[in-house]
Amino acid sequence: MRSDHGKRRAAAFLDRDGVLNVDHGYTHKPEHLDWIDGAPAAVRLLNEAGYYVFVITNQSGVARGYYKETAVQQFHAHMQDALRAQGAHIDAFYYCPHHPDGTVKELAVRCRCRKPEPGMLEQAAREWPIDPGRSFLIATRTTTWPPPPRSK
Amino acid sequence: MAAAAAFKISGIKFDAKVDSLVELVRRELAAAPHRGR
Repeated sequence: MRSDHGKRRAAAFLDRDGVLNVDHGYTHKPEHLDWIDGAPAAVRLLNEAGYYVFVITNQSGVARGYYKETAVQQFHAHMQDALRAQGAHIDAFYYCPHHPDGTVKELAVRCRCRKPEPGMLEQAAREWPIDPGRSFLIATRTTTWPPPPRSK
Repeated sequence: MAAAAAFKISGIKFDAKVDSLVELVRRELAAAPHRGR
């Protein structure tokens, strides 16, 4: 589903591993989807409150050659199916497949989408009518977005 | 990207070992009407 034109809505940006599903380390197989306690209910609350719900996730396992992007997409499809079965849904999944130390040459880059860089958030803002002032991010590490500049 | 540069959102750190995601979301939704634009 792409952006529905019209009034801007608040958005909840959710990290994936460690926020929605248990982080088993490079989790990518559907059978390894273990929800964080209450995660589907939390997504449903956001849906019912009229928030867009976006997943934003670094997936450096793709750049490292551990799995393909199709595995990420299949994992997300499985998450979506499991959520829908509980009356919840994600509006869009955004993932970064890059990592500077990757072994897959075309993905071994310093990109603008790998968190804490803001690329995934920017993409969502281009594709959906988001009200940033009422939006928030829940993540395992980043506490503000964009993050404060790194001290030198 | 000028639009992106203006895009700032508040962030919440979550630790599944100590936090409840449902409670955190409830709290944020309750605070939403008061959040600045």
